[in-house]
Amino acid sequence: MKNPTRRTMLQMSAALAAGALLPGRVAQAASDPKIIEAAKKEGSVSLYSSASTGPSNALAEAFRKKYGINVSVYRAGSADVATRVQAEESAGRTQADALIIEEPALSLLAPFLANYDSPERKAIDAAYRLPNSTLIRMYMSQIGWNTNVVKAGAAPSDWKDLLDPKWKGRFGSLDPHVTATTLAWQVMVERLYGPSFLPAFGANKPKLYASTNAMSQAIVSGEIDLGITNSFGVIQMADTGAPIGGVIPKNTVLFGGNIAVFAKAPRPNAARLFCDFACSAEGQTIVNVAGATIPTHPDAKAPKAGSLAQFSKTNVFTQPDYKKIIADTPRLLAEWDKHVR
Amino acid sequence: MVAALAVIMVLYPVAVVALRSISKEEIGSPLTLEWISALFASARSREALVNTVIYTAGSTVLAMGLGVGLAFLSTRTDMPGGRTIGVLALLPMLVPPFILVVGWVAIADPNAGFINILASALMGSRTTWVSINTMAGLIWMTGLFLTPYVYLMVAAGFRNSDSAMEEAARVSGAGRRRLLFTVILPLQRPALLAALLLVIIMAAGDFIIPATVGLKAKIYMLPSLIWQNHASFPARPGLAAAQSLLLVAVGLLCIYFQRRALSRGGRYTTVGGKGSHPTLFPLGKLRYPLGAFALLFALSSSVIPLLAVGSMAFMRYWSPYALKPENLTWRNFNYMLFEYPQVWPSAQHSLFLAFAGATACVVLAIALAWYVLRMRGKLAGIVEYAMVLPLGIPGIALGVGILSLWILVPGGIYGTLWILLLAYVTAHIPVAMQFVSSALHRIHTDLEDASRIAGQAWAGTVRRINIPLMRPALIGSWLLMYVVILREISLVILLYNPSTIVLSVGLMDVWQNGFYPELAVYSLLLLALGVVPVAVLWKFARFGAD
Repeated sequence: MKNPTRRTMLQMSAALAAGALLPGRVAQAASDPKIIEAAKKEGSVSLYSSASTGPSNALAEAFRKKYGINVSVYRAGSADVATRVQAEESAGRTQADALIIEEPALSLLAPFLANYDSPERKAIDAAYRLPNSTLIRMYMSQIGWNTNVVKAGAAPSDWKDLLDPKWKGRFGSLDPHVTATTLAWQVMVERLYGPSFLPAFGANKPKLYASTNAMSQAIVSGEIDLGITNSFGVIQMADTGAPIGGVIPKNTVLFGGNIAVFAKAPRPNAARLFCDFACSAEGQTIVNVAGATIPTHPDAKAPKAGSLAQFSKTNVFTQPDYKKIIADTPRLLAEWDKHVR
Repeated sequence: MVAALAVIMVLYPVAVVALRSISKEEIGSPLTLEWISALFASARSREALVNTVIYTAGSTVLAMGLGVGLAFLSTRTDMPGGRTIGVLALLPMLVPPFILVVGWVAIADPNAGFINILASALMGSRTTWVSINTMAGLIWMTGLFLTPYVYLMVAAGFRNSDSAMEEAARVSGAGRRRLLFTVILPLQRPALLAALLLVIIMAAGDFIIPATVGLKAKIYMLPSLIWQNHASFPARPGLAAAQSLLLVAVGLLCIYFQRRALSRGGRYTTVGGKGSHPTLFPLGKLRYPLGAFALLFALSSSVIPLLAVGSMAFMRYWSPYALKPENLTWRNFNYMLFEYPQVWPSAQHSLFLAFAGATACVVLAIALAWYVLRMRGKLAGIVEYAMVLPLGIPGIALGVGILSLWILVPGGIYGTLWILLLAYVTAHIPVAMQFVSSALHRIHTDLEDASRIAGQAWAGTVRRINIPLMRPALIGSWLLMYVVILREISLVILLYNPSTIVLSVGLMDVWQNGFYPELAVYSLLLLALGVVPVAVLWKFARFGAD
């Protein structure tokens, strides 16, 4: 297994779930036995997830193996998940028990979520939990490049290197109109480098993409030499053997997927048990190995993506304040439209 | 009764969109004209409107020219290889549009396209001969995507035309050119107008190309703004709805002109009482050059991008520089077909929905076209206008409309396969309707009267006279519905359930989160599912020269 791929990662995570490779020091999920009993009576869990199929299904499958409780997964982009939940809630037809979703959709759905302090959350740093949700899979904004075109010495190391005229028209950015993560990045570079950054960035003519995935493919195919992408995109692309490399600048934005339980979940115990599992070292290992993301549980291991403890020695993370960003969106987009054209 | 239900079916989601465009936030919040007035307020939206007009006009001209030209050459002339060219012209429709975009990027991207890589190799430095990231590139792709629609609709008309008038013209000494422009094409006016209407609205409303290549090139268009306003946080559904209403207005305007152009008499009844076989139009010296030209266009619209996509399916990752033996693999097939969750249940659901949806669309379209053209019922005008509305509404907005109705019906069809079926029929009935009514326009009522006098009831007349005479158009629209339903994405994403998962959900997932090689495999799977009925029905539709 010279080049473990996403498929082998999926298989590995299944094996982990079966306990075969489970390191001895990883504690087993410690849910209340009464909840386990009641969850088994309920018999199934309905999960709405905006994480991609790989990690969503790996987690669902591991949970089914462990407890014999079936998980049905509804998967869609976070805006679509939010629309669907809002429609179901306003019609009084809650179907979902558990939710995996990123910000800012999480904030929109907050009125429909239950506060649940899972016993598995004790080990997780307080920075990664809210009363109604827990971050379980993290990733960050980074620069990625085509290693056939960009040689080690010439590669950028920080965001401001993107302003170098040698990359003019040869690098990519996401469109903040459709990716809130880019708005968070825009706020960070404004804070780091002041208001002159965006005009210079726009003048260097980035090509715009609608998703990090499209961006990684464009880097590998040679459409662009480099681009602002994210950590799991680079890791997964590199796993296929593609010529992609990158750097995580010292200051960067941290994003993440949250697990939550619906207040009106039709199967409340199964929902809580699933949430316990997703927060646990065991569950986080599975979901983060399958998605090349970083766990928040200190005992979970997803070696490809690294650990937060290790990154905290070299990097300064910004966790975006989405309430502020949402309120500021019209101004941010107007500035973007003015300078990036 | 059927007509009234059908009108309600399409009007409801449109009404939701209309309400949204005048509501401050959710429907039920205070009314406002802020969205409508925002339509023309910003420089960007004005620029987008101008771009949309140029883009729509360009791709309409290209699609009409190619579609009508290829259909005429392959059905009505002695051009060599007509049948093959007919098949090639239809291929692009079997593949999801965004994978064709990926294919075109692989061919004509300024940095990573084969053509420019070749140019750079020949010239010794970075050279760009063609760029897909331009308005011309956008028009080229969209024009080619829409060509099969025009072809299917017009070929059905050409196949079924009455040779009596052509012979009359020939006998009275008309030359070939005159024959073509004064008899053959004018007689196809219903089909030509129907095709024109569809292509204009579909070009103006298509979002895949504006949201991918258009975004990269920073050429903004109306559909890309609608998409941005839907997908942004916080979303601005009111503005998106107002922008959709502009597309609806374009559709209504088109229908108005179409009705006016067709209202002057039954001059297009080309299938009269006498049986006849259209004679082949001799091309003379132009036979081979035109054949080569048609082949070239058919190849470039389908085979070349499909080859690019096909080769991706076998690669570990996609890059034109990586086309080397050591990068080839079967892994993508193994993963997508056997390891990727729920491919086979999705395929079953998709096949069921495609068969049932296509059939329902065609049957409903026959009933509605009959009501409008033959019974000239009280609602005829309303039905005609209503049946074009869904074309202007983006799939996701239509999905929201259908969701918000059926979720309120306790029990009901929410969460079942039936809501998907209903959504497909609502979204695609306009296309079927255009096909069927343009075919019905061409059949002379004498034939139906004769059948009635001979004692046939309505159903018998339709079954024995109209359906056989409209066969090419019916089969054509059925095939189109079938393949479009197989690959429909934005409509289903809000309406499916884990137990009713369909192939396009996986397609969406792989498009957003997977790699192009996996997307290519998924697209080949859809191509395979689409090719089977096309091959089976081709013979009965008789779209090629015999």
